[in-house]
Amino acid sequence: MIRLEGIAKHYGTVAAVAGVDLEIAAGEIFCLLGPSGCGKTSLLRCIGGFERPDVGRIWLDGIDVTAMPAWDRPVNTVFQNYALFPHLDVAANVGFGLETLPMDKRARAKRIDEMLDLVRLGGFAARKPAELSGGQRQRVAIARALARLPKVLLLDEPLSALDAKLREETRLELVELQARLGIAFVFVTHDQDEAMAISDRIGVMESGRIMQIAAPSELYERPATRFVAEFVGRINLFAGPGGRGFTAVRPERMVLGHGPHLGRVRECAYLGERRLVFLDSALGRVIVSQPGQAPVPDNGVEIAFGWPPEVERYLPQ
Amino acid sequence: MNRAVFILPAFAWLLAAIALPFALIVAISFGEATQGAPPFDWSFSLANYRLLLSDDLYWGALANAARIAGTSTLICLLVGYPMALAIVRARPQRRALLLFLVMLPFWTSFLIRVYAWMGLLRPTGFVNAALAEFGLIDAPLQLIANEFAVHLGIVYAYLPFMVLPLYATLEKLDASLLEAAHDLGVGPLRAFWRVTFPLSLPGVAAGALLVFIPASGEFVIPDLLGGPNSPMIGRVLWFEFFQNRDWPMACALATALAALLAVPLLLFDRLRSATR
Repeated sequence: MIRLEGIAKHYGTVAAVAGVDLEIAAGEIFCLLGPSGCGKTSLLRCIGGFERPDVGRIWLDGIDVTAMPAWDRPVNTVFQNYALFPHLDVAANVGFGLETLPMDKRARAKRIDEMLDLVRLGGFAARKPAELSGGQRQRVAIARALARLPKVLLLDEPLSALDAKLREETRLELVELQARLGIAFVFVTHDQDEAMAISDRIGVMESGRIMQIAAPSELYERPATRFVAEFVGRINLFAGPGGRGFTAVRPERMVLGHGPHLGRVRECAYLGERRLVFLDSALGRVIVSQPGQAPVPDNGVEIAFGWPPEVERYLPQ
Repeated sequence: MNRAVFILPAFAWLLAAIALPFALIVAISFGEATQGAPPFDWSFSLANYRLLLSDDLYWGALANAARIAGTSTLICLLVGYPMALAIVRARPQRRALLLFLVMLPFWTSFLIRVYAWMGLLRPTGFVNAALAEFGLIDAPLQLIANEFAVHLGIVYAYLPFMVLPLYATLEKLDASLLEAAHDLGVGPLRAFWRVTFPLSLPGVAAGALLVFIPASGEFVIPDLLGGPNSPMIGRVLWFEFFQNRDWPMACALATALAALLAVPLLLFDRLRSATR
């Protein structure tokens, strides 16, 4: 559905995107994940048509859209701050993109109603954006972006402006919505939990490059680089064999109480369903994640630890 | 208590510099002209207002003032809007320079700048000399002492008062709104009319008032650049005051002008509370 070939984008001397190749299938939820400044938003803006890449080609549904302005592209965007038109009511916001389509008034009104029902804002057509809550505004932004029936929906940090509880609900709703519509969703987020929870595949970005593209579980269990391993969840990194690269072990794969290594308990952090035990050892700082109901070791106690060899992963860089 | 400390000086200033003088003007407008000093007697007569309403000279001057100020305001808007938009969209360093250039004329006295226009526009002036030099005209063009020159002078003098409030509103406009419009299939021209312009209306209204109100009462520009045919109210007012020494009539004219100018101000207030 979307194919990016060798996309690069510079601002002055800074490379925001430094050579990205990517294919996104119709009907998948793809997430661009990375810290701020990694180029994920620039890349999304290239797909949306708000930035023109310096190098590379963008294909949408088999058409080269690299030089196509945003208003001609068959994609729509949910902006980070929603960018609702403050002078228009909810219905006019949702209908804004329909004005340039060959539709009569009745069909337009019907589409607006459908979109508002889709995001459960049926009774809100006459409200102004200022009269809505943050969550409602976000749903208007989604309805407005979907009204033109795009083949791809781009979402720039769509959940970041919502509070924690609403965020979790909304992300479930987005997944349901995507399943119902069957179009591709391309997300940008810096929140790894969010990315893991909703994505079919994730592309982890660092310094303008995609470091790894994989399904969430694959990304977590088999990270390609130290950066990916550290960005997605917690990880223990030890010097690799012969001092080259790293040996990586996830905290929940560590075994506490027996094993070849000795560590001194520094601190225990109780997180409800899990408890994190921090150890100082000859291998450096070690994090062990245990079930919350496991016995609590006292601080300062020496304790043996280790891991089964099959759970460790070698990271060359 | 604290608030009073801050509000009181401003309040005292408004009272002493605006409210009291204006009350005095209104009071004198009901008086009668005499030969003494000051050249009026206190009384309560509506004769001046009756004359104002019955004499075509005054009505005509008010209408001229409103018409010339109105067209000048429109021209200021048409010229100033693209300027403000260009400044907002310029690179940040360039933007400061452009704003500086908009304000630069204020460094020279208003009166001197209007005199400079006289030097440019008069039959032996710079413009005619240049056109004759290039053989474009045989006889000097009548560029001064007409409404064209008055419009030119007003637009020139008040353009910054249109550009600056427009700049202030356009600068606050969220750039992502235009991107959202483009995203929704709306090209630049239509996006301007559907998004940028409606959201800049408070700036348009503020700029229009800042131009229209002083331009309506303008005296210097019509006096120096205008002709005898369509006097504006400011000039008639000046004439009543200094030539005729009819202070009560001049005050009645000033009161009528202030009352008429209150109309657009009230409309602006309505607009602002409606958009909120």
